[in-house]
Amino acid sequence: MTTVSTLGFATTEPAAATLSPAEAAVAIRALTAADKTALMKIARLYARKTPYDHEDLLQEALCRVLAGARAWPRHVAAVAFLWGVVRSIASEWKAQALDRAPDAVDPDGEERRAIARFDVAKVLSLFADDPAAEAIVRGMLDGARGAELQALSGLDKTDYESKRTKIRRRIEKLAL
Amino acid sequence: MTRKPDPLDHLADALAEDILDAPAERILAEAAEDHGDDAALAAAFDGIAARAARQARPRRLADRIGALAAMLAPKGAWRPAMAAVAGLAVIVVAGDLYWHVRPEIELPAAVPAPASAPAAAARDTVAQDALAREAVTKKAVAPEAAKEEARQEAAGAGFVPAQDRRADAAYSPAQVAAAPPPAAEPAPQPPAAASAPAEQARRGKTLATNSAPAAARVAEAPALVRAPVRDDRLHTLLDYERARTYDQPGRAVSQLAQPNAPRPVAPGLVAPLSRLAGLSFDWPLRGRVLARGEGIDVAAPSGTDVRAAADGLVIYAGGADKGFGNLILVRHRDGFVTVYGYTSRMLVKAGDEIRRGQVIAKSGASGEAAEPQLHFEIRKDVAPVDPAQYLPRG
Repeated sequence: MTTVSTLGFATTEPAAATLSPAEAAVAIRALTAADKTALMKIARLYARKTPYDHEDLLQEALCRVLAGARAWPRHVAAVAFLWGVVRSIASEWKAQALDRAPDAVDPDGEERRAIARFDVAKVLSLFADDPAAEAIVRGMLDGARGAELQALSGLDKTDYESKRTKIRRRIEKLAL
Repeated sequence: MTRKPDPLDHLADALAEDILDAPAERILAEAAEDHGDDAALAAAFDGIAARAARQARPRRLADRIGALAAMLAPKGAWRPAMAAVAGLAVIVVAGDLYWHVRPEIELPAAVPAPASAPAAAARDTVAQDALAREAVTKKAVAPEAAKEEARQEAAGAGFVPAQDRRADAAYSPAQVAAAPPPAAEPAPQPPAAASAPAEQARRGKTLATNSAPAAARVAEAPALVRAPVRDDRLHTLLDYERARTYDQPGRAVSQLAQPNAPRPVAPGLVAPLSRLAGLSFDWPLRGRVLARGEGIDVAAPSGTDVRAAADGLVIYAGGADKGFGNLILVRHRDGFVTVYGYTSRMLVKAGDEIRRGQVIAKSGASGEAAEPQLHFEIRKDVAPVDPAQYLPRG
């Protein structure tokens, strides 16, 4: 089975801890179509709670990497690194949006909690017909991972993997 | 302030892990299912990456220039010392002026009413001289001062106070060579060293000048054209303050402020203060604006003259920056620095004093320029500013 590649960046130069912007550009150009598609999907996931769309988010992430503003450790794979940058910028933008909000002094204010509850309820409503999937999603929302999630679902490994794919696709389509 | 983790962030993390773990074939199949083409998202990514690359280049270069400008910027440690020296100069000059003026202010009360005939005649002379200071000054200045005036008139450059020239010379090696030797300049003389009429005329003028309101002094400016040396200390001080705005001692800063304008006609307060007003810049060249950001990229055929946007001092001219190729940095007064990049040929070198409109380079496509153009930036204390605020419209 072929999985989304993790780009190993080879160089004959003396080992520097991080990639230079030029090396980063080469690494980004070397991404496969699947890598690029995966990063677009990831950007779409994280852009939801920011004031900008996923293309802006991904462009800002790539721009910062190419400008040398984000140190790319040489041992970190391209997709994993770019995922981290996208996640970081989304978090930054979301925090800025919260700071600009009128009730910024109370980021856990009632209105925000109500919106969050609505979003969570909207996600959970996608799986109202599937208790196992809903249990997994609730676990994901609570930060559970791996075997813990599988245990919550009560499914065997194969069914659990299939269920997770189904969950992801439904949530992705929610954002389309 | 720490915020509670958003449950949807946890969800996004979990789903992102799923995406990374998914087989490439499945990811592409999903793209085909969602968008009708398995390469649709990859193509969109390529477009985003291209835009990011275009956006990253000026950011990277701006960072480099910022670092370069910061490196070339004078160390902040001597600025407080300069401020202290300036403060000391103010105290010394103010004290000196006060010491010389005070006897004249107190004179009416101190002199007894029944004065002797010669003394009364002398006071009358002082009063007349104060009222007609132009005529008195011309006739009564000390011989050295008269020689100095003649020298200045012969030079045809308008009146340049002797101390002004000394101040400028102290900042300009070139002017040191051009200026007369210090021994030929009339040093400030004690009252006893000057002839009595000259001293009375000078004191009369000093008293009148310093006791008048500022507006009256401005109105009297033409009468101060031939003001003696002592009155010009304020002018010298302003020149010194103006000089202080430049970061490199040893430069003829007063000349940089108004290169083509004649020296001030009236060494009062008006001209120096006007020179201390806001600095403006001219376009280094005209052409189609290719990009605006922290600077402006202006399209220009290779070899087009690149002109200095304002008077200044070249602090860098070289090709060390791969991005901007042949790059020139010019420091202006008030902490401004202008940047000229991508040039094909540099016609100045670090340390050159340049004038507004002077051709300093030829445009080109050096560095990472994709086409012949000029990259122009204005920076204030290292940080880039919007050039549109300082450039003429059109």
